[in-house]
Amino acid sequence: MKNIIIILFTIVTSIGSAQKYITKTGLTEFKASVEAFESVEATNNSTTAVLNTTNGQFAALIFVKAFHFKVALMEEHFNENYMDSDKFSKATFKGKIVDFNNANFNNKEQEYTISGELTIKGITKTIKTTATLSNQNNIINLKTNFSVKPQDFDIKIPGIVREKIAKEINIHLNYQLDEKK
Amino acid sequence: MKKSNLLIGILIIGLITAIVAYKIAYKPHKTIQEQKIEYSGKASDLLPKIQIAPEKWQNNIVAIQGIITSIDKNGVMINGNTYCQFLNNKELIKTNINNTVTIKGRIIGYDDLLEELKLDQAIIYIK
Repeated sequence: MKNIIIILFTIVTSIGSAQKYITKTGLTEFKASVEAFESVEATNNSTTAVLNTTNGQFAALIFVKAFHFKVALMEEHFNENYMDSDKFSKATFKGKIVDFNNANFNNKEQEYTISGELTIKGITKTIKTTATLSNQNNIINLKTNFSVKPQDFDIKIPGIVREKIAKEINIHLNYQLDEKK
Repeated sequence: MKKSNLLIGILIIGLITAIVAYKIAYKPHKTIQEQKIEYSGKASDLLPKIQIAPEKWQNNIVAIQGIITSIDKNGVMINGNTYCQFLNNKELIKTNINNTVTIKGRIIGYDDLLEELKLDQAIIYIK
């Protein structure tokens, strides 16, 4: 009887415990520069990201106003004209790391496919890209690059500046996730 | 004689206009220390206000008072529900768990993934 109870207890607690790794200060950058013109790039180091290592589910949340541009005026235009961040204050990603297996996960960098839904300016698009993950001293490093087109998310680039902004925006993520205790 | 004076006058006006335009286009970011405080009070009073109308509070500069419940390498958690990311990690030296502090920072939004209010550009504020 006692053995059955112990076994049941172990099963229940292992089902119940989801291991989550999180960061509140993840680095998300994007670049939309065109050569010979002024660089168009910004950094957001306040990204929240959560990875569930039990099932590979991954979610990230960015506040658009936390993107920092070197040129203050560019930051203003980005928020007011392009992103309408008063109305759409967040950009989110909800998806999973495909075939994530915590057992195989070690301090060597491994490539995984990451897929899910990216929502910017209220518009959701499915994206799929590769991410490099590794676990060093119980900190999970997640890096990925992918590109999006402004028109996919209803980001309108006026004709005057169209030549100065790249047709595809390169997005780079670099997160260090700590175990949530 | 008159013609060259006019020319010099035009050049000077042109130069001044160019300088002014440059200064406007490339005006520096306002530092958190320079920015005016739009709300000052207890973090526990502020949180319910933000949960009711989050868009209204975005980008607001606030000075909030609360207890430090945890510290990490980038900032502190106040009252277990408000995360303040420091502008500069040097601020960490001034922090201790269970201390009551006043923090000046910018509200960037309510993080519904982790269910906490998030501030950035935070500094320890002493009036």
